[in-house]
Amino acid sequence: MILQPPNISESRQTLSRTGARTLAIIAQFARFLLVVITTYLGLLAVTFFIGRIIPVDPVLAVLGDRAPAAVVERTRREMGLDLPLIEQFYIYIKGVLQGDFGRSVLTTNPVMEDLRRFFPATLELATLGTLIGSCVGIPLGVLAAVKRGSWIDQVVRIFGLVGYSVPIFWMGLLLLVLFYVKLQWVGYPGRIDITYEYAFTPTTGLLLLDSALQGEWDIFSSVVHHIVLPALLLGYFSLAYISRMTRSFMLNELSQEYIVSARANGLSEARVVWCHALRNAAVPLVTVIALSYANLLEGSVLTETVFSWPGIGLYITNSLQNADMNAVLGGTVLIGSVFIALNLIADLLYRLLDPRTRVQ
Amino acid sequence: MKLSKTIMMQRKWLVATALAGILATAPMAMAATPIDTLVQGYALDEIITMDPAEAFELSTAEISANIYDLLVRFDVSDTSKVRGDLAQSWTISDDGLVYTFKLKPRLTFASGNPVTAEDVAWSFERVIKLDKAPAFILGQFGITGDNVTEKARAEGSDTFVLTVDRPYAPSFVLNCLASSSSAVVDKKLVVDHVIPVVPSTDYKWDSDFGNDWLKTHSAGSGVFKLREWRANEAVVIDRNEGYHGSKAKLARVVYRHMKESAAQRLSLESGDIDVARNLEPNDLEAMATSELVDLVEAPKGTVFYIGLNQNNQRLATPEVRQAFKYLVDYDAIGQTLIKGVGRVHQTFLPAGVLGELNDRPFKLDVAKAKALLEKAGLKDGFSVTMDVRNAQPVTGIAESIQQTAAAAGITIEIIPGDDKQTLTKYRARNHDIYIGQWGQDYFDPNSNAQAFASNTDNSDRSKNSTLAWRNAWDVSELTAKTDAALMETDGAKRRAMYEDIQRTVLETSPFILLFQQIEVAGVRKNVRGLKLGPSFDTNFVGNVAKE
Amino acid sequence: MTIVDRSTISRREWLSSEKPSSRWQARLGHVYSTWLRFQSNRLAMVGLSIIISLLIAAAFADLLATHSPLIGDLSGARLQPPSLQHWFGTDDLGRDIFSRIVYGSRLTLFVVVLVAIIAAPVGLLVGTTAGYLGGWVDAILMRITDVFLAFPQLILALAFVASLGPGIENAVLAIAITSWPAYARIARAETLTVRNADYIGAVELMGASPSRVVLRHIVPICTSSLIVRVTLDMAGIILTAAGLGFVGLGA
Repeated sequence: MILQPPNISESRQTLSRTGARTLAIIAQFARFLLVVITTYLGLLAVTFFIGRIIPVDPVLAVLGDRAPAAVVERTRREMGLDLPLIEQFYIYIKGVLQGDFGRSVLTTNPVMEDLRRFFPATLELATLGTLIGSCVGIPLGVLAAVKRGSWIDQVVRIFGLVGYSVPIFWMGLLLLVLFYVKLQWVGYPGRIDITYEYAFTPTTGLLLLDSALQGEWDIFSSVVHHIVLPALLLGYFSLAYISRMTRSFMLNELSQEYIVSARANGLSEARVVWCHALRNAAVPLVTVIALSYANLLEGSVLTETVFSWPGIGLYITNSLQNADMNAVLGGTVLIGSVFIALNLIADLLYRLLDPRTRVQ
Repeated sequence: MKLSKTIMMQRKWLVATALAGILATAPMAMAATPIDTLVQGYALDEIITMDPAEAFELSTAEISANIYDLLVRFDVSDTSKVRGDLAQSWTISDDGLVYTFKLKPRLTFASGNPVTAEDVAWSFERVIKLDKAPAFILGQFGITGDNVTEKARAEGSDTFVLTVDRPYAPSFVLNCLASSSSAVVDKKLVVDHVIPVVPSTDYKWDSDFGNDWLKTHSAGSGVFKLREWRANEAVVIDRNEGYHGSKAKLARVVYRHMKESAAQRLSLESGDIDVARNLEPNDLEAMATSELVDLVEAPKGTVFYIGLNQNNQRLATPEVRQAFKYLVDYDAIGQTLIKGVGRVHQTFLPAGVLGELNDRPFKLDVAKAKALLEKAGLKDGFSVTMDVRNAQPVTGIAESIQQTAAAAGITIEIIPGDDKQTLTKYRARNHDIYIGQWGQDYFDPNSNAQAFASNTDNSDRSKNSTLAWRNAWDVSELTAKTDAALMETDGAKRRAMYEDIQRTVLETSPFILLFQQIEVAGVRKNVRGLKLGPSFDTNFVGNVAKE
Repeated sequence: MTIVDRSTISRREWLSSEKPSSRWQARLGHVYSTWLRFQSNRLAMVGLSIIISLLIAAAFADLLATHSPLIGDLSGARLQPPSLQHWFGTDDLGRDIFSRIVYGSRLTLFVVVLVAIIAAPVGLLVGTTAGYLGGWVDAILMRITDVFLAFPQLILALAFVASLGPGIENAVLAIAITSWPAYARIARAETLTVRNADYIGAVELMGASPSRVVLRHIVPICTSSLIVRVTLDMAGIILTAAGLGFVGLGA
């Protein structure tokens, strides 16, 4: 994604010429806005037209197979499906601009309401997965780089390689059989035990947070039991990627001259590795982690399928198979926004962390 | 170097112990469901509404049957008879056009309102005027939005009169009234939630008859009432404390959406659900020996079949149609792929329906099929495609038929697809071969007879979408016979007519009937009294208890 | 010309000669030294042997498979454990799993190669064109790339499979459609670095058309890094195909 946010550093030069500076910022910002808007429009257009060429009759999802022909025809008109494509698109865009994503055919709820319910499930899972992936992946990557070529390096490499090459749904099923069926350590399916499902009204939709805030520790424990396996699984997959990238960034840093001089100055090895090298390696690492987070936030359809996790990926997939296009469009816009936002944040963090982008 | 190693070790150890701690502190208790709640794992994704005038899915029919009462229901022990539900008795006029129902005394809705004939009449009115998918069941008696208030009317508080347009077989009329779309709703309660509508050419009425509200609420007089429906998540029903009959034993029943058979099995074994409703043969086999679970089963009114599109010149040859019927390994499929979930059945009326016929003339016979193909001038075989939806057991059956057909020189290319996708193609008659299932709309032989043997207009723009039409099978003679059977008032004669139609279909049709579905539920041993009925709207849960 | 020489010295010496007497010899010598370096890496050799065995399995599937991958014995040999008759056992339709795996390697290779053949050139062309021409062409092409990048990959693939209809060819097409944008981005970045190089300027001065500059002088430069990236992605391609199969839309 090459969305350039307003370039702060450039404008610093022209401190004296305030007017020119403001103009420049406005121009930059306008260009940036244009990029975002056109990307959104493109996103909407592509999704919309994919939806219309899918050889599934949307009326079928509403009425089922048995409805008489007259009812089918009437419903088609009611849904506006008899209008020309362009007109349908125009009507849809008009609705979106007014903040109305329409209703989902499958759930009969406004799409916005559905997204509010399904997205927190994905958010909670992806956040935990990324946390696990970073907290384990970075130390492993550092260790592999420090002990390059040793057996530790090999073990980390193979551990990561397995994470890379084993299908996630297959591993998910195996883990379920082991930890849920055999050992009874974890909960399944969904996010919470059925017993608690109706005893508890979430506020944010992030169940870990909600149950902790309300002091419902039984429920909290149930949520932990349900989330731990999918989170570990996603964590493992982002770990594979993060540890590999950490290793290569660290190798790059460790061969730099400032490391040699730090060692010559008598700094302890731990300080050299953890304070000096890692700190510099952290700059590109932030981008890597942000991208892998964005990846998980897109809703890992496969993990969500295996664990019956009511997240955004499952929601979109389900809607897609039923040609419930309002839901698919809404979901795609949400995911697109998340992607764009995270890219921006990664970019800003990059600027903040890397001193070279600050000094002009 | 040493230090970093110790730090590493410490940190890893910390993470490991933290995780182990979380997992070990509260090991999951077995049988986690509450004692007064029944939790069923059920594939519910097809539900789009809870309004009985709009819903037309098997799962909604089942839940509806526990929430709403009907005028009449068919007798679960003898499905060829109906008995009164809200109706105490009924009479039929000599010309066979007027049905008069007398309601039982002192009936109440879950809201506390009394059940009156006015409620019945209004329930019929809203079905017809809303004109949603199930409206045709009542509509086929000549009832339209313009005449419904005369044709279905209340006479006093306890008498309901229904007038039909032709002298149909009484069993047919009563069977239709026993379908879930004729559910009686609480008029007094629903009118408070009616939304005004601006009439249009498509919809002439100025109100939605409470359709929007009833999508997510209930207004019935049944054993249970709807607490909540969350699409793709769950349906929850609570005991109706004011029920006019014997009350439900459990306080709550949860239908929890779970799509995969494997997921249902895992949850059932762990006690997170009490009943698993969509188990597939492989999981059933594993459950059969389980100490925790019983299997409960009942044959259902759904048949699986293969349709050969007659717009394909080769498939339209009579010999080729017959050849296909000899190219299915019925026995092997019966013993493996559908073991426990179906039994081989070659006629279109499912067992249990008036006029059922148990003929099974076909078995795998490649030599015979080859001879038939040679007679049709297709000695060297041919290629053809088959649209198969991605679900067991149809995928397995399709692959099995692909193998046996290859033995006779027919190359079948399987086109897999999602349910709705293959169906869209099928409904547009763009398939060669389609494998699918057909469930009865209502428990009467006419439902399936019309589907398989009636095609009033074979043109592409036809208004009918029967299975015969979908496969372009133009049969005016059979269509007439089907219509005649509908009018036959004599039960025995009517039965004989359906047997005759089925024999003709066996001999000449482009349909290869494969098997009749058996519904199987895995039930944990502490659940008592769960019985599956002969149709989905007879899967009652009022008598279920837990220990 | 070199035949006489070769007979007098050993083949190895001829290959590693520092003074090759022909282009042909120099090229072969280069390949040989690369091979020597490659050989010394144990992991690389493991990888190579896996790929070679996969290739052999695919090429000689007819000879290696013990049974037909399609026809099984539904009533007699269903879900059997591994045995002498069926090395890896049988599946739920009574088909031999070993034979299905052997034939399956063909399908896997087919998918991977086809995706690479479709996606890489498209990405390369879009990226280099955008990078070289700049301006509004760049803006439009990169906007399109962004749109496809902002889509969740598996969902986009699902959408395409759903609209094209399931099947292996369509799965390939869907994966290709979702993987070209990444290549376009790499190619564009690389193009930007060489765009102002002297040799490009020289070619332009000699009157080369933009298409000639892009195709003959920029594309070759970008190819090598792209090949590395495509190779890295191959595992991902296989997994995506498997994922599509898992949700019921693959082959």
